[in-house]
Amino acid sequence: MPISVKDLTYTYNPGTPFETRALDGISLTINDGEFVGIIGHTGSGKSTFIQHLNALIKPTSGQVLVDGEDINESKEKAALRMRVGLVFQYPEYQLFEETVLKDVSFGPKNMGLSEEEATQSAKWALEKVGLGERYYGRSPFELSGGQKRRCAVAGVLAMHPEVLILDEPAAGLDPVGRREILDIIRAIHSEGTTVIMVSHSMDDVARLCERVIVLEKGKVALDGSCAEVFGQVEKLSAMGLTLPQAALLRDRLNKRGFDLPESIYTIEALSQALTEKLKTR
Amino acid sequence: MLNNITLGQYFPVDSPVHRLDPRTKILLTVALMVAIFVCKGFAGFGAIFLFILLCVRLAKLKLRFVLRGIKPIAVIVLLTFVLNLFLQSGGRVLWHWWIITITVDGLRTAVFMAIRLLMLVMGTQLLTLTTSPIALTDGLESLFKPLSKIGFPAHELAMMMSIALRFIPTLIDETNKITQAQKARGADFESGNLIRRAKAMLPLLVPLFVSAFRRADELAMAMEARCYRGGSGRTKMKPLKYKKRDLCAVGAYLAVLGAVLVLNIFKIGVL
Repeated sequence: MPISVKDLTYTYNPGTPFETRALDGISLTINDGEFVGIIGHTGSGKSTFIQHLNALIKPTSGQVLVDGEDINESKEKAALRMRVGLVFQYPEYQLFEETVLKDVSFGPKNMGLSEEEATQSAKWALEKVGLGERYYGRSPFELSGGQKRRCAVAGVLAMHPEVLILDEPAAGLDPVGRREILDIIRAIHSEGTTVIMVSHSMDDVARLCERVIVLEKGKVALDGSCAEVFGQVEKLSAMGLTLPQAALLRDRLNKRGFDLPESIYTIEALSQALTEKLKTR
Repeated sequence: MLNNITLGQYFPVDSPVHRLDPRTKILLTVALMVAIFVCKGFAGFGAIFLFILLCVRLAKLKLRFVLRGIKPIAVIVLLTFVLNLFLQSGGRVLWHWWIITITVDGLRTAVFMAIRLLMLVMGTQLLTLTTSPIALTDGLESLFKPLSKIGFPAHELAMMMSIALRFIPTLIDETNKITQAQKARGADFESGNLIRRAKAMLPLLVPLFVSAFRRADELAMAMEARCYRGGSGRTKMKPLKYKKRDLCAVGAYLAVLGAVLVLNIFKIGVL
């Protein structure tokens, strides 16, 4: 189920003094099974962009095609939103039910599944995020920060989306919670789900994503594999973005006379290249 | 959908109206309401409307922006209009059918009441659009200060009010976000009958309340961390002072009030 965006433009508060163009002529395609990272400065249009992908926002102009079909023309918006699952930033603020199990089955129930099927789906999703049976009956408000986050992600997973979009899934979590949630996302992707992840953390993007899209003032500034994008040091720093730690170190070493390839952006690749360099010296 | 509420939303530009002392603006807003209620005819409303237009112009506001604030009360205006139209009797009968009778007096009263309501909203909107919540609180506190001698909690009330005003946009933003998040989970807020729709609001209201309480808690904590202890002995960084322009504003208002009274007395354009 590829997602194609054509010349997408979106303007907030048109015709008022607060008019701002959040997206400006974005065109790109996201293919099945990809793991795409979207990075960009605050206000670059990342969150606005992803909300277009499941028709939560109607574009000012341009098209969003899911499976070749313009989603803003379609009447089945709710059905689409289940196929393209969107996990918002701080999704734990959407929890509302009395128990974890009930909250997670909210999505499947909206899909029109029976009580039993919905519960089945919810249990499956909760297992995916590592919340076992003893959490089913608890109030979602009693959970810890990281558990709440996982519970909310399960709420979207329970609808079995083919594409999963996450806005800053690890924001505001402690290191353990961070690692847990990122591991879950990685596992979901490895089972064949297309994942699109918005993140401020270059390291998370470098570790997980295959493709990186950089947004700048509502436009696509860079789009390519991690190696391609994180090689463009000057361009990224001109946009006020940093590099992953390993790429940063690679860049500094190169400035001191090391001749390491620009395509290095992970700690593993860097340590390997560096060892080889030092051996031959 | 919730973007349309400008009530309590400050419009930040620099203008003579914005620079007026908040106390002047608060008192003039109350006074303007008095003038609107005193006014007995359409000519008087014309004078008041001109005054509002002048303020909008001076405040560098767009009229469209002020008019947008009317939308939320459109239903009330319409209801007032309809009730007055059908229930008021007297004068020539314009239209009669079954038990419904529309008379000239009814029509006049209906239009009059609708205009009065619209004027009231537009007039009060001017205050919130041109005065920042902080200035508004300062003004209120200063106005109510004399009452604190008899135990009236002027500072506390002003603080509570400014906090409430401050959080209106925040809560609207939050509502929008939660709505989107629940829609992404397939929630349907638009279809179904009234009971179904009310039930559908639950996934919106619970998180909203939870977050409002969380915010309140955090705010209280932050205030305590900064040693907040109420109003006694508290000094101001920018003490309020009446200036010449406040006198001008009062003068302009008195002119309008005078015009309204004269029109009333000589029954020009009066019902």
